[in-house]
Amino acid sequence: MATLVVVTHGVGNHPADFALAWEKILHAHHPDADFQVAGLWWEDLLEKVAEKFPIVEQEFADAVKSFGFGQLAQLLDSSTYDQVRDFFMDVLVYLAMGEMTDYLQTALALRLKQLLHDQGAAAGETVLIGHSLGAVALPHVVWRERNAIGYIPYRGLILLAPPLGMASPLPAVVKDPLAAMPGVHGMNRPQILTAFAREWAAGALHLLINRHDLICADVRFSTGGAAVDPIPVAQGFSNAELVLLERECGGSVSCFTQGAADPRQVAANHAVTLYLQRPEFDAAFAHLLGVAP
Amino acid sequence: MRWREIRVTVGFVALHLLLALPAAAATALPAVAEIDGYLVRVKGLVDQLPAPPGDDGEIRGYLTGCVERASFLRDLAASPATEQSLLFVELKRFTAFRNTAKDGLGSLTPLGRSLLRAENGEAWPALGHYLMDDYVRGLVIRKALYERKYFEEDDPKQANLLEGWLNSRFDFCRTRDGAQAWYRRDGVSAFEVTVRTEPVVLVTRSTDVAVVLAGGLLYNFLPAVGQDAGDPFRAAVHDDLLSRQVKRVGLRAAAGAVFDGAGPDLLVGAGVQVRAISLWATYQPEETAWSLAVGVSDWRWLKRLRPILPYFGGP
Repeated sequence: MATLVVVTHGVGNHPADFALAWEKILHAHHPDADFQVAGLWWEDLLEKVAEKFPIVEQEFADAVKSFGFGQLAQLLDSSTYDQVRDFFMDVLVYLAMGEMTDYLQTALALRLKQLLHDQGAAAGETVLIGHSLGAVALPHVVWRERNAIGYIPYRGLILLAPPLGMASPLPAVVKDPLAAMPGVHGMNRPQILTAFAREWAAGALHLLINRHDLICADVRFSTGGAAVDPIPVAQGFSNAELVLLERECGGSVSCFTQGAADPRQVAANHAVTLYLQRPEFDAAFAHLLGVAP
Repeated sequence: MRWREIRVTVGFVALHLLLALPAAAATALPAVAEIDGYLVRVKGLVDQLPAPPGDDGEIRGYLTGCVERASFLRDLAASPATEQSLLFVELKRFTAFRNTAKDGLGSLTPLGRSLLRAENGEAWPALGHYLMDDYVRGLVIRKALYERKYFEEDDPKQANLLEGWLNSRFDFCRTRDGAQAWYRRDGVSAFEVTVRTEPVVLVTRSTDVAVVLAGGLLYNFLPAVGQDAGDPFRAAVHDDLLSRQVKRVGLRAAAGAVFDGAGPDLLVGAGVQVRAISLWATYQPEETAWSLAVGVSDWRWLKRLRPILPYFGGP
């Protein structure tokens, strides 16, 4: 039976058939491997929560506009607001509201189980791949399953550009992506990482990090003078955390450098297509499929 | 000794049985031979540890703890008098014990990590997979309750980010796994905090319009939810009269501005909400005047009334 590869997208706008682009690249790089790709789409869930809990109530803004105060409504209608909302609201709704974090994890976990059921696939024959916020949600989802049944049943997990190293500047307001793991109350970051890494068989967990990807690494940009990190909070894993991951699940982290450290390259350096075409990904994917890279 | 433990456990889990019965009745459970298989494998792992264990003391403690729990589970499974629901509850307790013990393990030697992986990835799945149906059932129920509480109300698009954040901060409002309370269904709390800007219309003394920032504590009448008999991924929702017709009630407090044609005046009030409608007792300090008012937490309603409201360009 062919291996089922379940792929999960991150922030931004993604159509329901987003997995087709991933599938094309995967099959082009592994033409002889026996696998099928299925998309675990959750854009609609993120959008549903973002609409329910907007920064400003939409109906309130419409009402204000009808009474002659149109600037607020104009701002909410603008493409700038759409862009900000698409990228940051996805993160906010997932991490800032614990109830919605739990709702999204629950709904996504259910979709994953139904996907496997519909595809007739066993979890042990399934490889999970997540990118960006999807690389945060997938560990949460599998951890929820682990809490319920006592182990992670999937063959492997590949996380592309995972923002799991990100440290919230206000953890009481917005959780760390790591701290949003279900059922980790009272555990600190090293304890969570240790427990998570130990759950996987050798060679089953892979985290791919582009050192020039702002989302998962502390990139320093040259702006004429000295190179500076424009974001005051840590996005990447600390050295101690990388050592921990290597100790607990050897070979699980692959760091590489691609793209210029240039603010104009932020999106390109984070693109899933970049990650899917890296030799580090090919090696990890081939290992999980049981074929030569 | 074991039988006494079993009798104690029977009493200890009695409260859980009522909840566990529907799931256990529909779920296969591990046979004695499977539990024996787990025991043999884990005992074999313990035998690989040096004696004394030295730096491997923690993993020894974990593995021997698993052996004790599995032996107890095996005795339960072997007893013809054991109810299936009791076996199911004990399997869940065993799982919780393992998770807590695994998460609490400190640094391990390479041998310790290897033994942990062997127990976790090779031995345990033979027992753990029996909990999969219960896991899916829990997801179905939890999702349906969230949908009802947050997305299937009368005014679903009137909330805001602050409201979502507050509902995740207060313990009595947020979901808690395994928590039992009169106001919870499958861990989901029926209480909800709201903080919204809303239109209010005075109905005594005048028909002036006010806009208020209103906070409220609402109680949602949540339905009973189970798994659909024909589709394990769908919820079967069973509404009663309150959950179907009343949906939510609560107390509210507000402060805002009333527009009486001569400019805005401060207005404060306390109210009772049923579904999306609130009945307010309001007070205008400037005029030392009390009034009754009606509010609907839906701005579309005010927009529809705009043509007939005097302050906003109406007659």
